[in-house]
Amino acid sequence: MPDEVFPQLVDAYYPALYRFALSLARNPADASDLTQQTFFLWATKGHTLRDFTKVKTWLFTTLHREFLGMRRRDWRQTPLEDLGPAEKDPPALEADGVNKLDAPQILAALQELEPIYRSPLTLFYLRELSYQEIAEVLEVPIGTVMSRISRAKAQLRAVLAQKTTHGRIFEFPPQERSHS
Amino acid sequence: MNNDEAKFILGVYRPDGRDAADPAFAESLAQAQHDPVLGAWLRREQALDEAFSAKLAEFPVPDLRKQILAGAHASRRRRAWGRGAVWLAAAAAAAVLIGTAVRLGRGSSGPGPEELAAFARHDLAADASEHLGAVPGLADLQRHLADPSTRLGAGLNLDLAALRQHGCRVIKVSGRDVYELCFVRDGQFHLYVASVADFEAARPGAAPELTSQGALTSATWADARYVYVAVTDAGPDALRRVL
Repeated sequence: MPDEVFPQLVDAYYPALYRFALSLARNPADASDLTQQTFFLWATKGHTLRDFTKVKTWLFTTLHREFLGMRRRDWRQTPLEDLGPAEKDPPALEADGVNKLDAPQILAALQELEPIYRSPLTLFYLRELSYQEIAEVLEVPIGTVMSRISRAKAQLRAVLAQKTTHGRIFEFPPQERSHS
Repeated sequence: MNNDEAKFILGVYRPDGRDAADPAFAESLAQAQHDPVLGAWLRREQALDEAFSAKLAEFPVPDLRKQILAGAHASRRRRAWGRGAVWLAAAAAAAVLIGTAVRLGRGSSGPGPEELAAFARHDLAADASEHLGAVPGLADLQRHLADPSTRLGAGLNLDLAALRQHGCRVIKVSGRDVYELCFVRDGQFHLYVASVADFEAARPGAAPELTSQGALTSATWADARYVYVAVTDAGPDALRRVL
């Protein structure tokens, strides 16, 4: 696959890839590394992809794999917990409540979710991919994506509910209190 | 299907309607239309999803573009020497074709459209770094070419002098000017355009003629003013969809 399309791919996908990377890695430096590494891999291996319609899925899948690899190298392994039943009654939250928050507050709340929930929900909110494509990127069955997004929404609402009291939105992330 | 099952499915339904044609949602969506409780839940859920998506899209992204392109440039340069065997095979085959076409063309007063097609396949296989990709002065035209509703086979309203002026790549083929435009749809496409007067035996209005050579497929056709060759490595079906 010739290379002149590369800048178009970068322009089309790097903002969404970076936001996905940031939700996973939780710091801008690692997010930048992951995004650049993904495009580096595209530049060196992307020409082997025969189905051009899969470029977007390829990029998100590669970034996710790179994140998992980075996590294995840098962090201690934590076994996946028993997911348990999905929450049937997540805390009530209205769109107006979300609109009052700013983007870093939403991202910080997303980053509090466990990684297995954070990844599908971030991809869902980025809107670039359908649930089938999210399943491809995360390499899990479609039903698993559905249940993880359902639980992720419940977790996110629970996190945000903790940040709001009596309709007032607290500063997030919380600042250290000074002792008087 | 009860409402809990419908909520489970509709929880992954994107609020911008891009999943509207997905049959997996049909039953749940129909149920939401007839059940006011489920309908109200879906409206709230979608408003909330919209709000989260909008917030995420607001999050600032650092300018990594230059770093990404610079890093890729270095790796591309290295890869260019070891480009896949399929490209080398295609280049070799195209070189033979060109030689044949040139030999056959001797004695006649000018090259034919098949020679232009052979050149186009060779040009694509031989050195991708020569192609300009996105050209700022041609952005509107490239967007038009990339638009799925644009059918190249219907002909294009082009001004070759303006193309040159705006930075279009111009190549000499048997002494004739050929203009190249690149665009992306279901794959990468390279459209070569030349004056029909420069390529003998071009038959304006005839159906595009497809030729496959290795990984590359080309389509050749002409209208009253121009002869066109579109080349891609995305396969014949992808090429037919743009014609």
